[in-house]
Amino acid sequence: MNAPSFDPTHAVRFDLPRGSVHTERDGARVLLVPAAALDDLVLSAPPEALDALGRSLGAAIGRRALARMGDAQGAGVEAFVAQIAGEAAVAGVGALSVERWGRALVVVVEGSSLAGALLGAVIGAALEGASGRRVSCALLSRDERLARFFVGSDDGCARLKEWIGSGATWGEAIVKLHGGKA
Amino acid sequence: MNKTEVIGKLEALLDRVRARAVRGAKPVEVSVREPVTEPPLASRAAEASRAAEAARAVQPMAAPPEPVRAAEPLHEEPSWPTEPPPPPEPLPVAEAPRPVVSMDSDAPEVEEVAVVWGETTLLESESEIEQGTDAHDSRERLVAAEAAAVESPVSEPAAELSDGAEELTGIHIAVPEPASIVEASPSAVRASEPPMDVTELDLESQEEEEEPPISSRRVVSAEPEERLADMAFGAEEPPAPIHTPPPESGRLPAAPGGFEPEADLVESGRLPASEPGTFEADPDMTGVRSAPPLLPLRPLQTATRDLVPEATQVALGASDDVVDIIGQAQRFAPTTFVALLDASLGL
Repeated sequence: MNAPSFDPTHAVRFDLPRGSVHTERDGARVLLVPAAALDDLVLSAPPEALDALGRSLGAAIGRRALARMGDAQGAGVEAFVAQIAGEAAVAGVGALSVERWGRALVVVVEGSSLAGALLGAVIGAALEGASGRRVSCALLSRDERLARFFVGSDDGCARLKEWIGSGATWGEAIVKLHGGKA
Repeated sequence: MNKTEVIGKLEALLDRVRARAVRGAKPVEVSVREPVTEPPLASRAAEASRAAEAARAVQPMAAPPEPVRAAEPLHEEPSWPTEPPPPPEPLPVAEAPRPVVSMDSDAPEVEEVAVVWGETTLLESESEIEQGTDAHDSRERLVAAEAAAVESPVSEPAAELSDGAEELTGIHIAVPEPASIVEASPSAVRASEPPMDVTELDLESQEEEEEPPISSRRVVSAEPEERLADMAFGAEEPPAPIHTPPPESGRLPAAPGGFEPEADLVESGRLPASEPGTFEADPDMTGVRSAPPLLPLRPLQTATRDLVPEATQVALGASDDVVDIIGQAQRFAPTTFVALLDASLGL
């Protein structure tokens, strides 16, 4: 089976006489914002504002990926991940991939310039926009290169954060989250 | 100075004394008795012996009379030392008569003028000594007689004698005795000798030949530099050769003749006959012996063996109970992303 590919042709249109940038799929006007400006905003804005900003950015990425997939419900994991990772790359969020730890879905973002709280909101909103499900994300780990997020329900994310906060590793927390359901 | 010169000097001295006596208020008439020229040697010796006896009579503490070799008419001198210095014991002391030349003037005012010489003034030659009386029988005694010292120097009286007639009365010219000569240095001895050297005996050489006793007083003089250097640094050794060939490396040559075991030991078999130059230690002497082999040596077998590997193998039978699976295989395999998402949301 051929791996699904992402076609980035004309993904972004720059109208220089008008001084505007538009995305091809939805025709929405976008704005090139320096990442440092977002970092300053993360440092000064309240968490709710950051969550709202992140969800707005992620929802746009999810809509464009859904536009590319057509039928997201029947799309395979690879096809879904390919389209959504392509759109995230065009938006400059980073390289996105998916890991499956049992039943748990873990999204890995590499090389992102966004802060952790903001990035989690972007990932969750993108998956909601593409899949049509209400999802929540919990940060498992973050270093200079990789950021791992558990994608699940709000209850699952709350317990996972509690276990990690009590000293368990994110692997132990995921195993514990599965219980006897593996 | 020979005899004629001595006589001439004495005559000149006599003339001067006479002339001064005539010029002065006290005419002095000097009568010189010349023992050297006038009497024969034998008569002089007899006179000397008489004079010596007279001197002994004057000196109560003098030693017993010794053989007298020469004698002169001797005036009794009030200033003559009554007790001679103690002579060294090892040396036989010969008390020599003091030859006296007394000059008597005709004038009654002149008391006496005496010139005293040592006995050497009487000895003109060895031939005369040998021809003389019994007093000259030994040269040792002659030398020993010189050891008796008279401390009065002769230079000053001689000067006084030559200066003026006013001082002539009671002048006693004494020749230093050999003891003082021995104590003084050779140069001082020569200086203290009377001007009239009438003897030709080489007394100094005799003194050098004969070694004085240890207890005697000797001249303290520095050792020769060479001897001092030898005492300090030792005698010089012959210098080593400048270029000495280095020893050659390699085996040392055998001693000439080499080592040859004794014949009886060789014959008895205790020592093997060896060539000259080789040494074989005797086990009895060195204690090193070669142990005989426990087993007799056998010649090596030339036949080769065939090496066959011996393998150890295990026969294993087929079995179905080898695998023991614990747990169940992962049964969740979502085909779509939404199924996976739903599973994750169900956690």
